[in-house]
Formats: sequence, structure tokens, C-alpha cells
Amino acid sequence: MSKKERLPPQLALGRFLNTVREEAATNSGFRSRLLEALDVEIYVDGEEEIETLDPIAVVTTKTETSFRRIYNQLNVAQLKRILRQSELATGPDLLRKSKPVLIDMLWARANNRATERGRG
Amino acid sequence: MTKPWSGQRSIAIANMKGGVGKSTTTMMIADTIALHQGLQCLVVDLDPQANSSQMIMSYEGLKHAADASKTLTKWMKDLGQGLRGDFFDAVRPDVCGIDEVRNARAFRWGSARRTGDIAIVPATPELRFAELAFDHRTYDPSDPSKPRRELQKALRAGLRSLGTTYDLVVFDCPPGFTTLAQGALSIADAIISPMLEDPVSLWSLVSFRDFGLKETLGVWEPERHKVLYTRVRSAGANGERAAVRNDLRKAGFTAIPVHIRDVAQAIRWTQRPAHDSFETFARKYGPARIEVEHLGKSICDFVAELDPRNVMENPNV
Repeated sequence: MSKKERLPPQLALGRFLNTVREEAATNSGFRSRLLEALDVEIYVDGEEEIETLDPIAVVTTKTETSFRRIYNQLNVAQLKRILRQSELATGPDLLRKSKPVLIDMLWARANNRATERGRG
Repeated sequence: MTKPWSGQRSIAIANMKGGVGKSTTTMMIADTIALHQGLQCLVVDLDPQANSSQMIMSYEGLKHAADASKTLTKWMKDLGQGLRGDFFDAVRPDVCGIDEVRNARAFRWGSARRTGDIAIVPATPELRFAELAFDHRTYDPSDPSKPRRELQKALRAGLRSLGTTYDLVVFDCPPGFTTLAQGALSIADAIISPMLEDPVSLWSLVSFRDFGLKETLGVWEPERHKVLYTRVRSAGANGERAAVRNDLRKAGFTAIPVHIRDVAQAIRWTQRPAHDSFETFARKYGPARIEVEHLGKSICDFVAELDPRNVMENPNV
């Protein structure tokens, strides 16, 4: 029989919530699911916050104009990082692409992925 | 690059059991055959789950093909209504998502150098209903194998209509034993059965051979059928896995001398982000890239040694 660590309830819960917090900070998909589960309107402010959003969730909740306004705040490197991390583009897809092209790509591919998942 | 055979050859990727990696194997073979062997490969997706169609064309590409009615479903619907389906019209050419193939494609025209690519006859989920309509139209209680024979004839005519454009036709069969799968298994030069290293998979494979290929279709020849181990784990249950391999040999099967390991990378193989998205072979297959390349070479060697069963080369069929 394995010998398990004994913890008071407060500490055990704290450990659990910390794990959720850490996962939410690094995993955009998980973070989006948590935000969706809250069922509240989320607004974003600033580049760092935008980068943490899941573009597939954004595309299903915002108009095209709002979507473009949000992502227009980012630079080319940040847009490429979002496209790669959300598996909407590969390395060769992003070579020599300008900011407007990347935003178009993000909008089109996030839309397709949302439709594919029945969320369009 | 020289072609290992003349004319068109075909293989069926088939196993009655689901979840053994038939569609993934189809895509891998097509990718490596196009890139490393320089062959023109046509994938015919016979599975209404449309997994290989989505993996190869992307969801978006498949939607475009479906909107334009350029699918196997349309061909099957036509047959179900007693019309002559246009197989050639359902072929979507040059769909390979490997970056190196895309780059070679740009220089193909006007160049003497042989380059490979992938074409596909895609499926959609409605394929199953189109197939049912065909079965109902052609079924004759006094001749229960009529739907299969009719479909076999139609598939053979379809491949003939392509001439020698494609070097290798790969039928991605659905799990189970549908009429379309039976038609493809009856005309394919070779059968590759992906399988997991577990006793249930072996049991299912033996049933597939004994009741399906031998008893129902009468097409089983040991030299035309090979097994490919897929999702092979690097460790664990070694004794059980060795027993399965041993039992497979005793049952009269031969395995391809390469297996595909279980890698986390596989999740990426299944999702091409868009029809205009490309990835290098090495990045796409990651740690399994050498195995996939060897798989393509093994398939080529295997197919090249066989006498062609039909279509473009054998005048007796």
C-alpha cells in the first residue's frame, strides 16, 4: 500500500488551485475552456492579454471588425506565435508573411477550425 | 528517379477492426511514396468517416470538394441511381501537404525530372447512405453477391478511366466489410492490414482473412497480404506483444519489416490547418519520419514484386 502525504484541507485545496492556475497560465486551450465555463463577457486590454486568448474562442464570440481590432494590436512575431501555438499554421506557412496577411490567415483559419468543431 | 513498375498498381489498406490506424497509414504511405519514391499516388477514401480526406486535404479543402460535388459520394450516388458515375471527375489532383513536394510541384512542368504528388478521391459522411442506396438498388435475393460484383466492375472501370496518370492507387477501406471495401479488396494488387500488438487485433485480423477475404471474396493469397504494426509502444507488456507477433506468424501472416511507433506527434498528422498549409516531412512526422520513409520503400518493393492483378497491365482481367 502506498503511503500518501497527509495535508490539512486548506493546503490540499491550495495545491489543487495552484495547479489549475499554472496550467491556465501556460495552456491557452485550457484557459479558454475555463473562461467559457464562467459564461461572462471577457474583455482584453494590452498585448500580453491578447496573446493568451484562444483565437478560435475569439472568432466565435466577436465580430470580424472586433477580431481584427484586437489582433491588429500585435506585431508580426506575436501573430506568428499565436498561429503556431493554436496549430492554425506551420513554419512554412508563416515565411515572409506581412501583418495584414497574418491577420487574414488567423481570421480565416480560426473560422474554419470553429466550423470544424461545430462552433461556427 | 525510376519507377519500380510500369502502369498502375493498387493496394487496399484494410482491417475489419477500427482504430488500428488505417487512415493514418494511408496518409503516411501517400506522403512518403510521393516524396521519397517520386510516384504519383491516388488515394481513394472509401470510409464515410472521411479521416484520410480530412488529413490530406484539410477540413476546408474537403468542404470545397463536397460543395463542388467532386467526391466519391457523388460517384456513389450516381451509381445508386443507376447512372454511370464519373470517377475521373471526382479526383482532386496535387493535394500533398508536404512542403518539399509543393516546391517540386512548382518546377514539375517543363522539367524532365520525375516528381511525385498525391491526388485524392475524397469521401464525405453521406457516402454510407449513398452506398446503402446502391446496395438496395442492386440487391437480388437470388444473387446476393451482385452489389459487390457491380461495384467491383464500376471501380475497375473508374481506375481504367485514369489511364496511367497514377502509379499507385491506395484504397483506404472503412472498418467492417462494406460493399465498397469488398469491391476494392477484390481488385487490389495487394492488401496491407495495419494492426495493434494485442490479441483482440489478431483475432479480428484472422476473422477478416478467413471469413472476409477467403470465404466471402475468395481473394486471399498470402504473398499479396501483409500486416503493419502500428502505434507500437517502446516498452511495456513485452511478453504479451512478442506472443502476438509469434501467433501472427503461426497464423500464416507476414509483417512488413518496419513498424510505426506510438508518438505524441501523431496528433499533428491528423490535422492539416488549411488546404494551402504545408509542413516539411521531418517536422510533420518528427521521431517517426525514418520509419515512415522505410514504410514507403517496403511498400514499393512489395508491390513491385507482385504480378499485376488487373486494370492497366493484365489483359486477362
